[in-house]
Amino acid sequence: MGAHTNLIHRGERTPPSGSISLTTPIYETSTFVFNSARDVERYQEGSLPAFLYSRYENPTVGAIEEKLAVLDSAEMALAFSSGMAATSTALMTLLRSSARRRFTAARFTSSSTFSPVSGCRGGSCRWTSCAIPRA
Amino acid sequence: VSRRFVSLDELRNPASVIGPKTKIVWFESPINPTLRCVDIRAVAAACKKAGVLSGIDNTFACPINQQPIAMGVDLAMQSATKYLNGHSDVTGGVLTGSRAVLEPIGKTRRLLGGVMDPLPAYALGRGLKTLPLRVARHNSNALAVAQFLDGHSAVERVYYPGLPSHPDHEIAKRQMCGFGGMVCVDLKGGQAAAYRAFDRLAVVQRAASLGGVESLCSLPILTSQYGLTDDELAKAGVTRGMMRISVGLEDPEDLVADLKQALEQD
Repeated sequence: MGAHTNLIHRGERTPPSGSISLTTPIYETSTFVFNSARDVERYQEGSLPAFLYSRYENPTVGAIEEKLAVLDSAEMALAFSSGMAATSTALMTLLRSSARRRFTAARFTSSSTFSPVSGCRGGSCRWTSCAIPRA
Repeated sequence: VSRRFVSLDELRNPASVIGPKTKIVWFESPINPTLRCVDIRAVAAACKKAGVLSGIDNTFACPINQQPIAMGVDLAMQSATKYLNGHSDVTGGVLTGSRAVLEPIGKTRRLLGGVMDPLPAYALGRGLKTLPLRVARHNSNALAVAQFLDGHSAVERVYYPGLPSHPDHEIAKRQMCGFGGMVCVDLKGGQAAAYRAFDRLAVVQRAASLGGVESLCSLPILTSQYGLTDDELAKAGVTRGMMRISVGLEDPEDLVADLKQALEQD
């Protein structure tokens, strides 16, 4: 192997054999390696517990979501890049076009919470409806 | 999507704010910056009865002091930037709730991409390990600060849910097991007095945000309520003389001494 290949691949993807890290490592990786096409297929079918891509799931993020769910006596937790990412993602999911789509907010709720909805004066506003999955 | 903003008075009768088109009721308690409290169980119960989702911003209390999911709220949101991480070095957010509510939101997160990166997730995980210890200290330090300010000659009014003088003390006692680290003080002399005391602070740092180990102070009229008219400020219960203090984990006597010198007359 040449220098370029060695420097890119040596020392990667080698979990410490026989040892368990006391704390969750920082899985600073954007993607995860599969052994075979069949494994990718099994992952997509839900029969192989694995990671595909860090925008979907990441082990370090998953570890804190487990803590956060327990902390709030909840079944599940989702971590976001900011509180406003959490708020806007929730509202864009829950307020999909339907007969019921009124958002009632306590007037004194954190002012930035209003921004995604209060920018639309006149009682109605349009959020981009593209690509929001149906439940 | 249409939205309607309701006052605290209206929310006291939560069934009255839910109409035939209502999909979700979103609120926070304690409220920024006045620390007024909403009866969480009452809102959650009214929403359940009407088949409407309830969502709370639980950032100010954090789950150590207040457990909204256990009180029947469907969706709890927090800025993880604040108490959860606690060290003022991570920007993040979290939603908690049932699988039925959160799984569709997880699908949207994939598509919109507002995910947390592994590096801040690691820092947040480290912060979470000491959350109960930190929150206990935030609670006791904030109470010490609130008690010092309460009755000080330069102070018009102190807002802290743990003080019996707070308008929602009874609600807070029912739903909080600690009263949190946020204290709001309205100074005699209005904006000039607030600016003066703010500029004199030495231990408490002049900065937005909250929930970190460092005590921080902000002036609501320059941050959360910036640009509001006098009428809008009055509706929000916010005055020009207010200072919001996020009480940190320093020695309480140092914080009290700093506030004392900041409030001293020349």
